[in-house]
Amino acid sequence: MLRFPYRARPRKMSRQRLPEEGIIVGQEGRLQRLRQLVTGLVRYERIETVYQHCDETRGYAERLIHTAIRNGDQHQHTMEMADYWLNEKDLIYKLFDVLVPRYQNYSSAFTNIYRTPIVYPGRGTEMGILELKGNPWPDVLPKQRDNRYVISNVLLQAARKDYNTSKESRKTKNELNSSSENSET
Amino acid sequence: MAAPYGMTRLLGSFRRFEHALFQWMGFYPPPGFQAELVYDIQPVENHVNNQQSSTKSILQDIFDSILLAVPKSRRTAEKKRTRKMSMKGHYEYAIPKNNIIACLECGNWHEKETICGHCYQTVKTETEEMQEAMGLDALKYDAPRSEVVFLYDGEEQERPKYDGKYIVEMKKQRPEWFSKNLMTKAHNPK
Repeated sequence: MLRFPYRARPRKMSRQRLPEEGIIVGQEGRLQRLRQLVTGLVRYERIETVYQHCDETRGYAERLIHTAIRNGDQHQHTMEMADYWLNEKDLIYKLFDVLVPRYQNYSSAFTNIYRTPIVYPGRGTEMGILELKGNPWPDVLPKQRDNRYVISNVLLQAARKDYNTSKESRKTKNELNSSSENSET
Repeated sequence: MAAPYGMTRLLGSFRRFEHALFQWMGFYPPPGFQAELVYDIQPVENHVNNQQSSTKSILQDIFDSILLAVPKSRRTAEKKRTRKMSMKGHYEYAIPKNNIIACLECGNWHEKETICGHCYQTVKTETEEMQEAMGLDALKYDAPRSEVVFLYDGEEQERPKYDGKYIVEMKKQRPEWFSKNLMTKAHNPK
């Protein structure tokens, strides 16, 4: 169902709340943190956190969109899932009105994930970016440049062309030879 | 069987505390008293100092009985050598990194697995401006129920193309690097 490689085991995650409430750890804290991240992803379409958290969130967000596409908004289980995963309820409309039409005909994953550079000197935390495809913001990666006419590419193109033509000519020669042998016999 | 070691220490500390207390109340002579007799030639100032030191020694007596955290057992030679030769700690920063490359767009250095931090910073600032133009209400509290489109200055003629979409106007020119046609591939047949 998911269109990208994902980790089978759940990661240990915790949710940081107000200082007096402390950190919520364990299965409950993990789910709360994930819901927070999925909600943020659907709202802002691009989030920055720890890379491992991005990777963990990705599967849950994609799965939610998959179910929404497959079942529509007239389905009880799907609506329950949307209600569970989206903490802010105006996003349920966004899921069915914006994201479902956008990703209906996609044959790839719905999200992109990137690693942001590690800050030196610092704690060495691996941070990442998770984004929904087709978002209105400028691209994270710089746009692909037109490098058709770079000299190395021109030479490679010519070499490839040469190789193909010679191959075809050899093929036709062989065919002619074999047909002539057949006709002789 | 003797009492447990911790209990012995506790009892000992109690005994010492009791002794110090009685000393303070004047039942026993202070511990420096005998020495004082020996060094009788010392001046009076020193005598006062000696009294202070005796009160200090009472406190020391109390706190000496408490043992602070110390290694419990001897570190073996093997472990010592392993730690000495390991790459952990300061030494791992002395290993040169071979995965640093230059960004093709801006020329700044970044690690191979990561995106270019300098390029991303421009994207981030532009995104923040766009979010500001969108407004807090649409961004945070009531998400628009259609695709969001950003119109920069000089793109008014394209407005009918985005009929039915949530249009946000940016009061500035579109940045050069933020191209409209982002899906252009390197080997475009046309």
